[in-house]
Amino acid sequence: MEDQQLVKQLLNREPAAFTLFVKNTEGLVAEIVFKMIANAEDRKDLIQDIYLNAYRYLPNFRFQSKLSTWLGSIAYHACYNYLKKKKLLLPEKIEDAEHEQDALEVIANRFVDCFSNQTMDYVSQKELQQLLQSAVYQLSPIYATLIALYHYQELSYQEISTITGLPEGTVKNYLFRARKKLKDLLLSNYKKEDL
Amino acid sequence: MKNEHLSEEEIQALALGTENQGKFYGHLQHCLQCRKSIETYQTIFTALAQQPMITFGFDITPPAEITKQKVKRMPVSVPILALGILSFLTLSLAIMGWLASRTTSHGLLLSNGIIIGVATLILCGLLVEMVIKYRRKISTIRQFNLQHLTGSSF
Ligand SMILES: [Zn+2]
Repeated sequence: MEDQQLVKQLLNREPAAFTLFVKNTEGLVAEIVFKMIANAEDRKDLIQDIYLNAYRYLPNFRFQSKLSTWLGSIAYHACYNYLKKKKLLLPEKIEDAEHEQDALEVIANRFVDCFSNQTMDYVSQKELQQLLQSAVYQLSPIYATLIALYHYQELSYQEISTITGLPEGTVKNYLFRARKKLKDLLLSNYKKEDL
Repeated sequence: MKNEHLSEEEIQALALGTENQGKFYGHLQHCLQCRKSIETYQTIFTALAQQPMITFGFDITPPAEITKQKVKRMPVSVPILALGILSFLTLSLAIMGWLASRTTSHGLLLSNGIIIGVATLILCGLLVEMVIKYRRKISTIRQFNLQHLTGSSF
């Protein structure tokens, strides 16, 4: 269903439209909230609030972006404010792991050897998924969210910029650092598990 | 041809496919390290895209405006409407009584009685309306709390 039609039905207070709205956006909202908020109970309250606020502010939606992007922005800012309130947010702290590069290259080679090996079975793929998941959760909330939005939700830099309110250049820069951090985390995790 | 290793930016760009390999072809041909770095990123990006979808694990309570609408369609509630009709009828009777009082003394008594009756009726009606509204609000709050408490956890 087109955004325009869905918004019209939502404004007409059609319960089925609300159900569809939740269904269409669950993946995106869940990615943002789960990546940013660690506490399960708080996540639940936040998700409920995000949808209530979206519904409340829907008459202000001007179709300048996709409806899902607009909701994503509400979700991101709700989580951001929560983290800020709880003093769990360190947006300026950007870890610089540049000099660790050399040491990690050796591990990187081993890692690729393992994963490009034809004998790799299903369990190892599953293991990679698990390692990846835990590595993503070790990233800072904003990095983890950016990774999820770009690599899983497959959103453009521009859409991510709209959601987060960060300039496009900052999104690119954060994503570059997040990918590198993720690679480093994954490689060190993989080595540890393997030993 | 570039002989030093590719920068992290270049490696990421090649793994993402946003940069053309052509410029780096010569170096990549003989540098296993850079090729491996690109492959590592590609493995990660593929695995990231294949992560299982996260779901809420509970149902979202729809906004009150959506659920409320069905119950409250009539602008005026039934007790108030009934009260209005009754008041109108009794007032008409009272006026008739007053007109009759011009001829008989019984009429005046009847008319006063009816006016007091109407006033009592209006007061009772308003009281009933208040109680009904209060009960409805309480039940909505209870329902919301119940949904909130029984919603499955993550
Ligand atoms: Zn190289």
